[in-house]
Formats: sequence, structure tokens, C-alpha cells
Amino acid sequence: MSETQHKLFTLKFDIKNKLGNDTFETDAEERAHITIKPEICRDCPHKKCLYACPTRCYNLIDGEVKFQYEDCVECGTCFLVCDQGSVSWSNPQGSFGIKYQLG
Amino acid sequence: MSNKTFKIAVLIKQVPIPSKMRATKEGLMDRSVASMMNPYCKHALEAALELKDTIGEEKTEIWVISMGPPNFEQSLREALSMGADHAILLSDRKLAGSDTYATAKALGTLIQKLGVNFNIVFAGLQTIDGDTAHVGPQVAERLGIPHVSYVEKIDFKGDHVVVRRILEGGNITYKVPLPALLTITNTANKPRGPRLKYAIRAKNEEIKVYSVDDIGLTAEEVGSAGSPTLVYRVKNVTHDRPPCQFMEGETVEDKVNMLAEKLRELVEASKAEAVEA
Amino acid sequence: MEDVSDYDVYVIGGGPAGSSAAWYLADQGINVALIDRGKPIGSKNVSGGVLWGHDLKVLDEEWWKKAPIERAIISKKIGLLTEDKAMLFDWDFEEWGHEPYVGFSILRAKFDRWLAKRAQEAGADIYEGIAVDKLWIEKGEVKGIVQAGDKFKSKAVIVADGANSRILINSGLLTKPFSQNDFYLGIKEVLTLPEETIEERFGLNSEEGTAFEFILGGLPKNIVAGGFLYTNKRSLSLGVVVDLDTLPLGIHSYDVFEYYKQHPKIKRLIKDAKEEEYAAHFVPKGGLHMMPPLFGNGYVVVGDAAALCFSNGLVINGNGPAIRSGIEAAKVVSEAIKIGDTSSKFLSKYATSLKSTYVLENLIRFKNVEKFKDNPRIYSTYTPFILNFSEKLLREENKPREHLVKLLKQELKEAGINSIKAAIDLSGVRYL
Repeated sequence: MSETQHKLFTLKFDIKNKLGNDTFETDAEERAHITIKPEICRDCPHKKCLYACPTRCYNLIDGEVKFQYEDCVECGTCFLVCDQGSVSWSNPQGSFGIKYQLG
Repeated sequence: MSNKTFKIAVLIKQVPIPSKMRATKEGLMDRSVASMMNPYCKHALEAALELKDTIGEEKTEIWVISMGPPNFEQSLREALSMGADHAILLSDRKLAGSDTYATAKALGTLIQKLGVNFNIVFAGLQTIDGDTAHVGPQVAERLGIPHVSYVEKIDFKGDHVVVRRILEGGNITYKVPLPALLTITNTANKPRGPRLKYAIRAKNEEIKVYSVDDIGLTAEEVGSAGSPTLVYRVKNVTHDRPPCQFMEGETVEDKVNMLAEKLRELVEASKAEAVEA
Repeated sequence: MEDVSDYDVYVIGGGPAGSSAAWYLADQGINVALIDRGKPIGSKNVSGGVLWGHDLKVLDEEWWKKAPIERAIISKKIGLLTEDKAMLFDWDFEEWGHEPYVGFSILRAKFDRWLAKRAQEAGADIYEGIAVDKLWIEKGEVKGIVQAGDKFKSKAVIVADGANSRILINSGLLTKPFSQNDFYLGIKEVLTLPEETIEERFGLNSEEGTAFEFILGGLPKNIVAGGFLYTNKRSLSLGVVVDLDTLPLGIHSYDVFEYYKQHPKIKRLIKDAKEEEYAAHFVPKGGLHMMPPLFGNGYVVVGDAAALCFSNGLVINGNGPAIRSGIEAAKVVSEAIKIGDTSSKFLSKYATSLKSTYVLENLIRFKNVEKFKDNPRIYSTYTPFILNFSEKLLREENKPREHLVKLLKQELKEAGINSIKAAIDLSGVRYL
């Protein structure tokens, strides 16, 4: 069986539908804890953030990487997979962001 | 303390967390459940803190004032750890059952009793447990100062403020002489989190608790006795979350098209219903 | 603010490591503050969901009777999964089923809140919802902490802010920058199911639980990933651990989770369970190569922040080492405060004492375990091979059977397994 027939490629799954189960306290946009530099992303050869982020906070819209901070669960993945220096990562200010009820 | 020339009061209420909110048989809010600072009050506090940032920390003093059971201390300490300077709680069993009239009477009397000449008083637009939006304006009437409700923007001009009041479909800008009372919307600002410097101070800060006697009122003037509002009947209404449908599709366009299609169906259905009726 | 010294010790991070440290210090009468960016404390914390062992016994002999544990783990299952096949080793150990038990399923938001509360009851001051910026360092010496630009003086700081330690990064204390080689990405969902259904489905009595761990074999592009399933009181903790380094472009990390969730084997185990909460968190691969300095002048590092997480593919344990390292650090810090010496030299006793525990000893002993565990051929080649081979071996058809050895040879050939390479790979077992 060829690799591309693997079920992983045929999943029709939108993670955003799941995030309604999570509790967030969203801070103001100007205080977003992660920012990216679009000019760096434009030339990024892999754009791995699009795939690695477990809540799909990174999306390609009209050819540009767009970051959306509201759904971020603060795992740090994008910071690690970005080897281009575009992602500046900090924790949200205290009490904001994801609030796990179970963990 | 004397060099802090600009004095701000913020009225704060603690409310049950929305998922735990329920009324008792007597028609009062059940206060035994987990609670939090009323979100609108947090916006009022943020407005005060922003004003403090504008005028200067060394010249400004914020008093947070609340009325309720002793566990309201939680919200007052939270306010202190966000940067308020003093916290006052009016707490007395005699206050139980107060409607907005009696509450405003008690709070207004307390503020006068404190003897602090506040330059400005902030309150949340409303609470999420009572939703009346009465208390702020009534306190202003008690204090004999002007008030503006639904405020989402404040420009400090020294002896007056220029505020924007939101209305349905527009807004009005007012020039308000100080002292005044403003009730703040949740669109006004994004409240800040606590700061360790203030949180450590808050831990040791004494919260001064006043009783009804302390402010010179009697049991007849407050609580259910002092409340013209009579609760006729209380009904707890619960319902399941409405069925939620997710739009599916490969692309955003697909999803939007599907949503548009659904909405069209709904509109057609409601038209048909109207015709039948 | 520079002269203010409200506390002798600041503990940054209210997970198992930080709260245990704060609890121990408070018990010793040390003036300690525990600061966490979550509000309530614990609301940023996630783990797969099992706390192995009894490291907390030092603090409370009967901790597990008081803690909000979900179920005592009485059995363990390790399995191999490919797209359409599954194989499971199923162990039942009679001795695991008795007090004091060997491990417990936990939900960290609840558990960590309890642990912090115990620290508070012991006398620690708790600050929730406050994110510390970094350590306050002057001339190579940690003087205290910095929060919202304000400096707070202390005698010692315990860094316990977890896998993605912003404190170490912001304070410039990492030996080398983190890379995607250093962490797995854990993705987890809690699925609710009635208590009786869980007990019936998994053959458990009340209070008893079980733990599943799977190798996800045969994934395309040599993705290295594992899966887990733990039983809680009224829910299941289901998740995957993905080696980020091997995640190819075109496949979302959560697709691996969803694929696992839709596997026929898993589907049956989670049937009718309702999605309750979705979480994602780093899991340090652990090990010496990514370890930051464990101590320095005026500070020590504990738990996941210090990469003190152990995994050899058969067992994975982060909560236990976190607690143990927190306690070991607190012992040394408390002594240091009492004698008034929080120099790097004195605090090095923490590293020494860790070496005498399983926490560091395991990491030293198993320092090459990743050569086996993260070998992509285990996932891409050998797992499918074992499952295909055993399927043919076990299938009864109305035709003559092949001899075992012939079948084995056929299957090895079909799987494209090079026997020399396989022998080398297999010899990696010695790292386990």
C-alpha cells in the first residue's frame, strides 16, 4: 500500500470543532503573547508551524501565514519548530489564556 | 497618604460563577456557591487603574468598596492585587435581602461615612446576577453627583472628564464635571491581571469591615425591611445547550457556503411559518 | 523595590515539583511563596495522567488517601498498532491491586490544586494567576525574581515552571537552546464515560484502573509516535505523544491523535465516551543531553523544567521524578537557608542527592535509550512486520499452513527488513 493511501491522509478532521470544550480567558489583542514576523514567514521554506500547532493557530491565508492567538494552549510547539526566528513566544500575562479544568 | 490628591472609588460586587448561579426558595441569589468578581466591576476597576496610570501612581489612590457576605473579601483582595490601594467591605446580616434601592442607600451612606472626598466613582454597568444596572446611578443620586452610565471611553481633563456613552446604533459624548459616577461597559477596556508587587501587599492589607450600625443606619432602612421591591415568585429555568451544528467543508469557502445555505433555509422556514400563521 | 524581601524562597510554578518543594519548605518553617501563572493554580498543567510511586510519602505517609486521585492502576497493557491491526501484551499483577498501590491515574488540574493547597496549609503563601518574568541575576548570582519589571529579593529560588521553561529561557540559563529534538508533543483528550461502563469495559472493580500504552507503527513518513489510554473515575485520558522532529509537512499533529482515536481497537475502548477537554503539552524527552544546570548561585531547577522526566518506551514517568526532585531540592534549600549559604557550591548537594535517587540514576543509566526508543524503524518497519507476521501465523484458512520459519522468511523479505540492520537495531535493546 502506498504511503499516501494511509488513513492519516484521508482524515477529514477540523480541530477547531473540539476547542469549544476548552476554557479560555482571552486577553486583549495588543497583549497577545505570541507574535510572528510575516516578512520572515513569507520566505520560510517549510512553514512547519501550520502542521505542528495542535490547535491550528497558524493558517495560510492568501499565501500568508496568519497567527491567531485566541486558541493557543501555550504548549510551545511553534516556538520550537520555527527555526527562522519569526515566532516570539512568551506566556500570557497571569490568569489569561488556557484554563484546563481537568488537565 | 495626604499627597495622594486624586481619590477614586470603585464599587465591586462578587457574583456566583455563571454555571453555578441559582436562586434560593426565598428568591435570593444563592451565595454559597463558587463565586468571582462581577466581570463588569473588573472593567470598572480597570478604568480606575488606567486613570491612575494617566494621573500618576504617586498622586492617585483607589478605594474598592463592596457590600456583601464576608467571602466577598476574595474579590476585594483580587482588586488589591491588581493595584487598588484600599478595600472596604460593608457586611452585616441585616443587609440580607436588600434590593437595589436599599443597596444604593447603604453604599451611598458608607461612602459618605468614609469621609473621603472621592473625585470620581466607578461602577460596573450592571452585575451578571441581578442585571438591573440600578445600583450605580442610585448611589450617584445618594451622593448628589452627576452620573453617566454605559461609558466605554474616558478622557481625563483635570477638573472634568469627557466620556463616550454607548447607545444602540451610536454614542453620545458628554463633558462631565467632577466628582461624578460612571458605570463602565465591558467594551471599555481589557482588565489587567494581578501583579506580584500588589498581590504581596494585598496579602497583608487589612480589609476594613463596616456594619450597618457603623454607618449609622438601622435594620429597618436596609435589607428586606428597607427594600420596596417584593419578590413575587422565583423560578429556576434550566435548559440544555441548543443543538449545535458545525459547518463542514474542505475550505473556508465551502463552510461559508454551507452556512449561507443553512441560513437561507431558516429564513424560508420562518417565512413559511409566518404565512401559515 | 530592591530592598524588599518578603520571602526567603520563591518557588516558580505550581506543578507537582513546585508544590512539593513549597510544602516541604513550609513544613521546615521556611518563609516561602509559591507563584503560578494559572488561575486557579493547576489550570495550565497537563500530563498523560498517571502518577507512579509514592514520592509524596515524605510529606504525608497517607497522601494517596487524601489526594484527589482517580483510580489505582492495577494492570498495564502495552500494545502495537498499525492501521488495521493491533496486538496487546496484558499484564495483571496481583500485588499492584493492593494498598498502598503502585500508581494512580490523576487529572492534573484537580490534583495540582490539592497539592498546592497542602503547601498552603503547611504555611506557604500562594500567588495564583501571576506570571514571573525571569530570575533576577546579578554577577552570576540569582538575587531573586522579576515580575512585571519589579524585583523581589530572596535567598533562593526554585525554578519549577515546567517543560517549556520560560524562566530558564528568559534568564539565559539554558545550556543550549531548546530544539524540536528535545520534546515530544503530547496531545490528549479527556473523554467522559459512566463509572459502571468503565469498570465493566475494562474489567475493573470500583477504585481500580488500568493503563494502556501503544506504539503507533506503520505511520507514513516514518512518524515516531506513541499512544496512551488511562482510566479515570468517570473518564478516560486518551492521547498521543508525537516526536515533533519526525512530523512531516502536510500532516497536522492533531491528525495523528485523531487517527489513533479512530483506530478500530481504540474506537471500541472509547465507545460512547463524550469529549470533555482537549489539551496539548510538551513532554521533555528527558535525559542528560538536554538538561539545564540543576543548580547555581541562589537557585535550583526541578521537575520538567530540569528535564527530569524518564521514558524508555515501556514506562514513562514525569510526575514521580518531578515530586522527588522538588523534595530533594527543598531539603537542600532548607538546609542552605538555615546555615545561610545558598552558594552554588552548597546547592550542588541537590544534584548529588538526586544522583542517589532513581530520578537521576535512571537518566544516567538509560542515557542512550533514545537510540532504541526513537529509532524510526521500530515504528515504520518492525511493528507492521510483527503484526503482519502474527496475523498470518494465527489465521486459520482452508489451505495447508506454512512452517513458521518459512513464513518468517517470507514476511521479512516482504517487509524489506535487512537482517544486518535489524540485528543492529535489535541490539539497541541493551539501552533499555
